[in-house]
Amino acid sequence: MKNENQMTKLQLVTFLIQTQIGVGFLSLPYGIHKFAKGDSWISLLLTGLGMEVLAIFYLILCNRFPKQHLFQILQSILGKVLGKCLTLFYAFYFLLTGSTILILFVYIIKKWMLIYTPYWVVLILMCSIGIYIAVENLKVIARFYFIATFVLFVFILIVPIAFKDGNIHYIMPIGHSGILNIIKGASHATFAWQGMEMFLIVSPFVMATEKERIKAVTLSNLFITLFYSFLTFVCLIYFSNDEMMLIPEPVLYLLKSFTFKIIERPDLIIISLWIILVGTSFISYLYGASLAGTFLIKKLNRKSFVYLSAIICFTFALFFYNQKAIEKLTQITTYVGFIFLMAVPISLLIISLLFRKRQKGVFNANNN
Amino acid sequence: MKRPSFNHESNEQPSDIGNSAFESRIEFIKNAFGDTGDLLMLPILYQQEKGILFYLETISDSEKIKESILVPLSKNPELDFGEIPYTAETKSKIMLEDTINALLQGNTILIAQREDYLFSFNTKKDLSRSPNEPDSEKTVRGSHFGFVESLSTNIGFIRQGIESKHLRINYHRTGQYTNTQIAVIYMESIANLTLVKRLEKRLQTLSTDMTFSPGYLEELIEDQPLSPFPHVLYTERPDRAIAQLMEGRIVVMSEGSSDALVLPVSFFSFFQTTDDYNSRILTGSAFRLLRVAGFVLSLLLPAIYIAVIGFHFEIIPNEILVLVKNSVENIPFPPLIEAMIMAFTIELIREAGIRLPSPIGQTIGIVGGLIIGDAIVSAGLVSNIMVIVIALTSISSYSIASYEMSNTVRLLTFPIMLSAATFGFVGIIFSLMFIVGHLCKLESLGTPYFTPVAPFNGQGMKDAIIRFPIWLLKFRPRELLVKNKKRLYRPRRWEKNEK
Repeated sequence: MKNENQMTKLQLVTFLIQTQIGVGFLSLPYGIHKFAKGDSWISLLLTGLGMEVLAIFYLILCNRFPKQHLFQILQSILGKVLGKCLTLFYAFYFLLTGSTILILFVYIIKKWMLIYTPYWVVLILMCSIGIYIAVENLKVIARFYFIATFVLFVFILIVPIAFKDGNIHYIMPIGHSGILNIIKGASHATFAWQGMEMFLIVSPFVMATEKERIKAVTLSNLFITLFYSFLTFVCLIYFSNDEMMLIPEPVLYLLKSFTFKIIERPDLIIISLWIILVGTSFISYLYGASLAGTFLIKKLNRKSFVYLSAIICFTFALFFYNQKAIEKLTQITTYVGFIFLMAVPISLLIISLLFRKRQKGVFNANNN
Repeated sequence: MKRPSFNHESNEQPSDIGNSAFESRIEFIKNAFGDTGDLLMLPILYQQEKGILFYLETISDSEKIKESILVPLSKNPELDFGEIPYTAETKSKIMLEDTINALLQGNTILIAQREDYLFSFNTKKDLSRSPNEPDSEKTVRGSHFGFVESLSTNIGFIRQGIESKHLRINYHRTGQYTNTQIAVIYMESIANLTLVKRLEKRLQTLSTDMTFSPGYLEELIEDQPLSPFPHVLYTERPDRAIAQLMEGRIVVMSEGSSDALVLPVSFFSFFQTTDDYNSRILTGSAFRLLRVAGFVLSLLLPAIYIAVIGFHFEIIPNEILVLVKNSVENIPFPPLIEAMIMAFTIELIREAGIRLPSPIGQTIGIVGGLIIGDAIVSAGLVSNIMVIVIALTSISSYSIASYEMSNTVRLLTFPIMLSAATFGFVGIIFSLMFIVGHLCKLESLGTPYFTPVAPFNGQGMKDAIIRFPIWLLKFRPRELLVKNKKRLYRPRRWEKNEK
């Protein structure tokens, strides 16, 4: 019998895309615009480049431990105690990110669509779909993500309508906000790439050679970068500088201004589709947290950890509903994300290179 | 006077010159057919000379064998095997390599120890009980006959369609009391044998006191019986069963039922019809697309309407808004109740009409469709537009090729309507996510159910939502992991020759 957990190259691409594109991108142009103004799209291209470098570090690390996932790598490099500690931190980080996703999701849904529906009801909906899919093995999750990817093409097809009313002068002259601001914007944009650390978790389950993996990761990164900068670009030429300051979800406002013959408000449909993208990110984090859980306590199966993680995220999300608190939480998550997205994997790579640590024996990742 | 004996004993006489040839001929036929269950060997002993009769019992008539072979043998004990006056026109001398085809056509082969030739007798079975066109799978073009209630006749139909030595039939018996015969049919050189083994293991471990219908069998052997989606395909058409066999799938038939179960199948198998392949490429594709659209429409249309009326009024453009408002304004119920009343009524009409003889069925249609439909609107209980929506929904659900799938859709409409009434578009999207997630989880006999889409398979997509030209459908479905992947080599070679 083959390993139940395998995924193909194409599924790896869509897995990474779906994990990274999630709750944040509706307000991404707004967030970057605060720093880089009309050059925000350049900032995003820059971040994409930086993330590609990070992805290469990831790949080198994974090639040294081809059959192990992140938590096993942690243990192999840092030893049992420290490894388990860091795994626990990773679990907390995944839960924190999962909760942040839930909170931002409910915030936007309540603002745009379900104004009178109680807060916790929407939370339960998201948690239930998260549990329903995250309890399955990676194969099923990857299939689901593949279908979900079609949603992105709806965005790509519908957004260019804005070109018709766009004003290219809003972003001219290119580079007017200065290199420093562009870089500031770029560093701020990394939160939109959060989720790339999932590659370290799924990499042993991908059926692909080293080269194919590089291709897949690069492709997904390229797609995400172009997608983000494209959306931002469209928003920037559609809204003036002053307008951008006022609208926290520029992508939605952009769509709201379109009308078609049979649909007056396309933004409502687009938000509904966006739920799918949020769902996939949330599922990934539940998967990550539950995998960490099973790695720590081997007695329980992964299913029970999925339930546990979802309940924790749910309870945590219940306490955040005012805007100030949410902004603060998002910031904290972004900073914590820096540690787990970049600092830990890079130091792992350095340690493993310095001490020449590689995968030893058959310590294979085969638990689901 | 010597009497011919028809004992099944063997090897009491020492062998002579022809013996090794005799044995090798038997081996040849046996090997060619492998261990197919319906190949029968009947050893006969005649004047101390061994002979053996080969025939496929499913397509050969045992009465004919008796009359044209065994009776003449017993009447002429002095003559040699070859000189016995069998019923004259039925006998012919053939070469060893032709025996396979002869057997496949229903002939009986006689191999005698001391004869150089093999004898072939035409003992083809008369497959009586004229087969009708199945009601649930009518076609405009193509063959108009369906399976009947006899297992061996049905297998005979399949054998007639596939004149190949690679067709395998394995018999099983289930049901402690009924002892129903079940046949597992597959193509040895195409099908994935691990799937066959998996299926047979499931069949062997069944322990029930009866297995009287294919539905009974289906529920016992399928992967997820609680899923709303069917993952076994029913067909009453031999041509369809043959086409599925040639794709590498496995067909299960049971005695006394005119349905063949095909498995493993994918979601999109339920949208394919025989007519797709019998009509032109463009129309065939368009109609299949129409059916898939019918599926989506019947799943979502009432839910979207309810969500728009209840939550997102602003999505309707001004021109339509007036129409909708006029229609909905004076209705006392919320849209969900309206939709439930209508959908429930239509389901009742369907259920009432389905088992009645057709004249009464028509009355029900008139009472249900015209009278209730008209009266319910003029009474002001249900809005005009809701009647249109629900009617459109049920029509599109019936356009789906498979009866099982169309039932599934109509069942799923209700929870989606409910969630649309509680959460609007958000509810619809969440229910869609649940459905798609469920489809991704499903497996039919261990192969992915939602396959050409997820896991994605470009080759498979050619025959999923639209039908590509036949000359492009070069490969069998990949998820079946068949032995012989390619099915067409150079289908339109004449083009090159004519240039």
